[in-house]
Amino acid sequence: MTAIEELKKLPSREKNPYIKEWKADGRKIVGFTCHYAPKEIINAAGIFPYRLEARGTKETGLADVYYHRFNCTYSRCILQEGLSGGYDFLDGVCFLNGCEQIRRMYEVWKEAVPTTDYQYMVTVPHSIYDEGFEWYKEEIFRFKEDLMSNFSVRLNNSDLQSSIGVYNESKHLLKELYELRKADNPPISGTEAMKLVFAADIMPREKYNTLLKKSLKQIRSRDGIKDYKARIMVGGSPLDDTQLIEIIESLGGIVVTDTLCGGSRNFQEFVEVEQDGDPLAAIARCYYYSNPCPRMLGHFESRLQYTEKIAKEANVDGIILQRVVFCDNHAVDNTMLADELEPKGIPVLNLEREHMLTDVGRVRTRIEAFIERISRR
Amino acid sequence: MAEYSDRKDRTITTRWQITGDLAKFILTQDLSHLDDWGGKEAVREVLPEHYQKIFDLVQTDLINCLLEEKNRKTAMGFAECMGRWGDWFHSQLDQGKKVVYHYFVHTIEPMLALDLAPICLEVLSGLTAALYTDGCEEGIDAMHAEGYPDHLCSSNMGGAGFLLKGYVPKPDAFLKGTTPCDPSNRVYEYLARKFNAPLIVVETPYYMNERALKFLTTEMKRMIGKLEKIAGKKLDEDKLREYIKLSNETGEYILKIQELRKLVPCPDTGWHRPADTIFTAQMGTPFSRDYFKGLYEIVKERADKGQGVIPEGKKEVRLAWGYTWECFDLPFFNWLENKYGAIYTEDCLTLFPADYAMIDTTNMETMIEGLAQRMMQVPMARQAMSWSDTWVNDFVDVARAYKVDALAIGGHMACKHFWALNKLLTDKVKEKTGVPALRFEMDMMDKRFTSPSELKRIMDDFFATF
Repeated sequence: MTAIEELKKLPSREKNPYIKEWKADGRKIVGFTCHYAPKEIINAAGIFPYRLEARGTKETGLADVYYHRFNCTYSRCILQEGLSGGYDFLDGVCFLNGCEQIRRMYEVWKEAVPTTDYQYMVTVPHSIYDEGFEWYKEEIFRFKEDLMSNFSVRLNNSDLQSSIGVYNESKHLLKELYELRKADNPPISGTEAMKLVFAADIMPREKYNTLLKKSLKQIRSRDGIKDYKARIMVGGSPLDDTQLIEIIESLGGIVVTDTLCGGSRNFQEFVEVEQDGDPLAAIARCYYYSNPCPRMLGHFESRLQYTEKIAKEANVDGIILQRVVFCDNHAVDNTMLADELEPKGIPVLNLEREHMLTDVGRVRTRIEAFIERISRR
Repeated sequence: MAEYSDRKDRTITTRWQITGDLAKFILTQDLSHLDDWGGKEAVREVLPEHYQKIFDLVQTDLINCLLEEKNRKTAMGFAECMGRWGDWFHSQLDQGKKVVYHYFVHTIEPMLALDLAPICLEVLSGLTAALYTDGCEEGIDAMHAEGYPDHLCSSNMGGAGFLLKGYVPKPDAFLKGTTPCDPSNRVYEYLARKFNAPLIVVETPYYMNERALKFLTTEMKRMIGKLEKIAGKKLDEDKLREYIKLSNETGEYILKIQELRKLVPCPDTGWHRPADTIFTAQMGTPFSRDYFKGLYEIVKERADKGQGVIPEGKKEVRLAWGYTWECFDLPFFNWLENKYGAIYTEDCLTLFPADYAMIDTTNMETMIEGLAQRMMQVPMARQAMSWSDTWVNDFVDVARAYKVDALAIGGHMACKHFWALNKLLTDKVKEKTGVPALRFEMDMMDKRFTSPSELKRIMDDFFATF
């Protein structure tokens, strides 16, 4: 199997071969729930950081015992996996207060998923400023200390530097992937590209970098895709699978970029450690200051600018801002973005969906109509 | 006759003023039910003309509820203080004071001391929902018309829609504590951009410990600095002290009333409890102090006589509202008392912890730290911003201290953090106290979600099996 095929076909959770391999060596895996989780620290401790996802989850019956129909299906699907044993391989989870629905999962997980021995909550301020940074920095310092103590590992600055290097390399490679997608005739579809992107957080990073490097070599040698009607950017609620992108591309669109937290927002800034500087502070600075997440209050302008910049760089014809039903952050942000972008001549489709895309017919119709509206041919 | 403004941007607050005066007028009549004088239409005809239009808007059931003997005095106090608030707010506007729309978790003493005109966005929705047949739905619909979905919080959306409609004054600033929820954060962000007004953000940390208090104290200082810029003046220590002394006094009355509610029979009525939040959001003002002082005296008098508030011969069923209540049908709580003998002990939105009240007024530092402490402890934010243990333990304590028979947990649709915790909360309270819980869906402000008649049906079913 080629590197690109391996990344594309990488199964999630218990079927993921890297999990078995990692555990077979007696090593630990810690899940995380949000972009603000300091993955470099977990990795530096010799622990495999695994982003909680619910790819392929079909129902939420167990989760609904604890959560409710007013909670989004993204959070419910993840909880469903926890409750049904999908995450029994985890040795711990780093929860964050990314949004109100995900942050409460800490409480339920602790109570109802006994297979996870270790849970920790890292809290991130809801606004970006220096005192907030100090809070977050202290939070991840405490997390580091707790992680070391719980898993009986030692972790020094050199380990952190090395882990930062691995993650920065991923960012460079992902940046390159996104650069290739900007071409008039991109050598890779959005569906393929996002499969490669999503693999980053569900396999060991060093291995991922090796495979992505090889994949990029393959991708560079391909002919570009010419047969598309519209170049599309996707933004909004977290995505962990490519079902929606497949629909967009089956209707003649090509997804060339995104503003997703698991996508382009993952590699915009590198962790830069100044000489003799504190690597932990550098990690905190990178996550805290460079992620235009809609949970941050009073920073809409920066999210708008980021969206416009990414859209412009990839020369998109339109933006699909999708959100999972009951996702409050993206519900407001997407509407505000649409209100600002449309008058600037950037067409926006504001699309509501469920995490498991149960109403494909409706979604297809709306996307089809949107592509018709913005079509180049 | 009082002078009422006919300015469009005072539509809501003028309506409250008139409603206060109208209520006082009706409550002084020899009337125990509108039917005594031939029903609402007939009563309308004998009212002074300037009251008639507002009388049409006020909920009929609410008027009849307030006319009941046990509710009259509280209603009079409420109407009096509501009217005074309206007069005060308009006088602030007339003097050109800058209007700051704030989230309910904020204490307003610094804004008062800076000569600003604070108004709580959520009270705009809540009080309007509580008083009028049409509630705050027009505001909510105005936000929906802008493209904002119905799973956001109606307590923000109603007020936000009134701003869009121009029914309330234009904002000079918004003040927003960041927790407990995403929907409110987003609506304030939208409003600040829409009205091109500064958004002052106060970060409320997740924990309730020394570290968090220190952080929040710094936040309060940052907030004050920003408010000073809006006001164009420095915060005067003596003025702040004056307002904090008032809020301390108010807090003492609130805590004393809470203590009295622990008595069996419970000496306090339920109809006013959701509406009390208009005055908890105004702590620091004389009318807030006077409202709770008056309420305390009424409840104390009843307690001293060993009187309860349910019909004679009924067995008292002691309910605690483990989370929110609805605002749009205050007589519902009166109905529960009369039909089932079910009294209202506590709820999550007005439950003040015992250490809430007193702020040390020695100097600026002690006052600011006290304000931070209060912000951490303010009802609902206290439970919802942090670990579930706080919430669970609060209601374990309530269940025991108030000798509660059942928890009624009305889950506000927009509160995703609550719905993610609803089972754990009820399970743990049951496990520790044996108190069962009824959980049901509702919207605090929008009666189209779970209607008043549906709420009653839910209760009928509950009491049939209780």
